[in-house]
Amino acid sequence: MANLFVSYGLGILIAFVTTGIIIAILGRNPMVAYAFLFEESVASVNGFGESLVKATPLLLCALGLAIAYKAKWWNIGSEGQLHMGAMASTWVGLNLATLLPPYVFFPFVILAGFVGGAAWSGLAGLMKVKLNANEIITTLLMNFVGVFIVNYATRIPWRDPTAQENWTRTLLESAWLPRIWPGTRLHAGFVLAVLMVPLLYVLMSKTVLGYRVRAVGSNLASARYGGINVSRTILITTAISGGLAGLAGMAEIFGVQYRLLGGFTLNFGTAYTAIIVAWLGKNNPVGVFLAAIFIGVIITGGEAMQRGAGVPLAVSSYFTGSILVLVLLSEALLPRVGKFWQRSLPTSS
Amino acid sequence: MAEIITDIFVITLFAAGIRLATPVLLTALGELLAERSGVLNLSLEGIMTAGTFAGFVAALYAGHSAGIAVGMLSGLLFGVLMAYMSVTLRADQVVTGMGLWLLGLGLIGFLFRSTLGVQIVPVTLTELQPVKIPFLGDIPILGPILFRQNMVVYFAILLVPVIGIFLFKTADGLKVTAVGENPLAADSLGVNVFRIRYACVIVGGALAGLGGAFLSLEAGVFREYMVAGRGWIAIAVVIFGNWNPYRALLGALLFGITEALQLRLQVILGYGFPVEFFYMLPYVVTIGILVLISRRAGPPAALMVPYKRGE
Repeated sequence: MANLFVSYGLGILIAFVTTGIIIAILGRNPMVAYAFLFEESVASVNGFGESLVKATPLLLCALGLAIAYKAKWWNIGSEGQLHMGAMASTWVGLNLATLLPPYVFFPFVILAGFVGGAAWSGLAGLMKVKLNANEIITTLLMNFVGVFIVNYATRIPWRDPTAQENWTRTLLESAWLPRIWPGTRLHAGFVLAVLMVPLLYVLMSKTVLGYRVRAVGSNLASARYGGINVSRTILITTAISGGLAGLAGMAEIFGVQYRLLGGFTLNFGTAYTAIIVAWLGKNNPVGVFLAAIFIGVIITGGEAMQRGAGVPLAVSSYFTGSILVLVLLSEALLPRVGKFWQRSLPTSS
Repeated sequence: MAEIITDIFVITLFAAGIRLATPVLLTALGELLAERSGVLNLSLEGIMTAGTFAGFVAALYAGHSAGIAVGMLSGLLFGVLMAYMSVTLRADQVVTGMGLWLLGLGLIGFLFRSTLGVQIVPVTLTELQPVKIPFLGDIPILGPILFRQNMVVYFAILLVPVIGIFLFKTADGLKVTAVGENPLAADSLGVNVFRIRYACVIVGGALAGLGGAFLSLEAGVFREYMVAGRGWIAIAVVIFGNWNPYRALLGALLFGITEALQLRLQVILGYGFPVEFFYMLPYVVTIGILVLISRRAGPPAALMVPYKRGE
C-alpha cells in the first residue's frame, strides 16, 4: 500500500514539474499558474463545486470502465455511449416531460440514459461475442459514429428552430436536475454518481455477477471451465459499462447544458479522460471516486490557469495524460529501483 | 446516376483512394511489424497526431523534407518510449498504449494551441506535390491512378512487398515471427527477443509518425483531431489483413477508397442526405469489414504477453 502512495505521489509530482517546465517554456510563470489552479479549483466554494461538476461525468464513465476493465473488456467507447445516453434521455426530456408525473418522469429519464448507453455498448459486445470483433476497435470507431448521429440530430430533426446554434429546445425547468450546493453549479447528477460508488462496490465484490465478471477477467479458460457463461457475462458487463456512460451523458444534459447540443463534450475530452480516471483508481469504485475528484480538480484548475495566467486550456489534457504515463512508469520502475538499492547496500559482515 | 460513373470519376476516385489510404497503410505496416513481434502498440493514434503536428511545424520552417524527417523522428521517440515500457518494464501493453496515446493527444493539443493556435485563417503551407513517373504515368487509366502520386505514396506502396519479403523470406523476418509466436523458444535458440521487439516497435512508431506527417503535409494544413481515428483504423487493418502486409494493403485501400467515395458522394447526393452520414461511412465500413473478417483471425500467439527471461 505504501508503494502505491510512493509511485502515485512520485508520478503526480513529476507531472507537475514537467508541466510546469512546459508552461515556463511557453513564457508563463508556472508558480503563478499553479496558484490559480489551486485557488480556483479547491480553495474556493465555487471552484471546488465546479471541480465536482467536472468530476460527475468522469466518475460515472470511469465506474463503467472499471467494471469493463475488470472483465478485460477494453471499452474505449465511453464517448459514443455517453452521447447515445444523452440523446435517449433528451428525447424523453423533451417529449415526455409534460405527459408524465414527476415521480415517473425522472426514473424514465435515468432509465433512458442508461439504456441508450447500454445499447450502444451492447452492440459492440454482441459483435465481440458472436463475431469475435476486437472491442477496442469497435467501441472506438463507434464513438465517431455516435457523435455524428448526435451532430445530425441536433442540426436537423431535433433542432430548435429559434436557435442560432445546433441544439435542441431547452428542457423545461421542471426537468432540470436541481442544484445541490448554493453558490456552485453542482447538481443532483453528482449525487447519482456518488450513489453508484457503493452500489458498484457491492456489485463487484458481493454478488454472483461481480464474481463472474472478475473470473472472466482474470482467467477466461478457468471461468469457462468453472461453468460460467462467458458470453452472457460479457454482454451484461458491456451493458452496465455503457449504461453508466449513458448516465453520464444524461447528467451532463439535465444538470449542466439543459439541452442536447452537437459537440457538447468538447472533442472527446470526457470519455477518454475517464479511461485515465478508471486506471488511476485501479478499477476499484472507491479509488475511481477519488481519482475522478482529483482529475476534476485538475481540469477546473486548467481552466483557471487559462483565465488567470494565460496558459492554454489544453494543458489539463496534457497534464492528465502525463500523470497516467508517469504513474505507470513509477509503478514499473520502483520495484527495480528497490532491488537495485538493496543490492548496492553493504552486506553485513 | 450512370452519367456520373465516367472514366474520370473512377480514375480520380481510385487515385484519391490510394492517396487517402497512405497514412493508414504506413501506420498499419509499422504496427504489423510490432504485433508480429508480439507487442500491441495502442498509442498509434497519439503517434500519428504527434507526427502530424511535428511534421507540419517542421515543414513550416524548413520545408517538406524536414517535415517528413521530423514526423518520423517524433514517431520514433514515441516508439522508443512504448518499447521501453512494454518490453523492458513489462508494463501492461494495453494501458501503456492508451496512456501514451492520451499523452500524445494532450501534448499536441497543448503545443498546438500555444504555438500556432486556432485562428480564423489557419496557417497553411504548400501541399506535397505529386511526382509523375515518366513513361508509366502516361499509361491510360493505370497511369493517373498509380504513377502520378506523391513520393510518400510510392514509398508506402513499395514498402508492402519489402515488408512482405522481409517477414517471409529473410532470416531476420522469420525471427520476428518466431519472437511473436513463442519468445521462449526463440530465446533458447539464441534470438535476442528484446532487441527484435524494440526494433519492431520503434520502426512501427517511425512509420506511424510518417503516416501522420503525410496527413498534414499532403493537406497543407494542420487541424486539431485531423487524425480522426486513423491510428485505430490502422490497427483494424492489421487485424483484417490477418497480420499479412499484402492483405493489410487491401484493407488500407478499402478505407482510402471509402473515404474518397464518401467525399464524392457528398457532392453527388448532397442535398438528399445529411453530411454526417457520409462522415460516418469510413468508420461504419471499417467496423463492418472487421466484424466479417474477425471470425478466423490469427494473431501471433505471444501478442501482448511481455517476455521475461527465466519464466
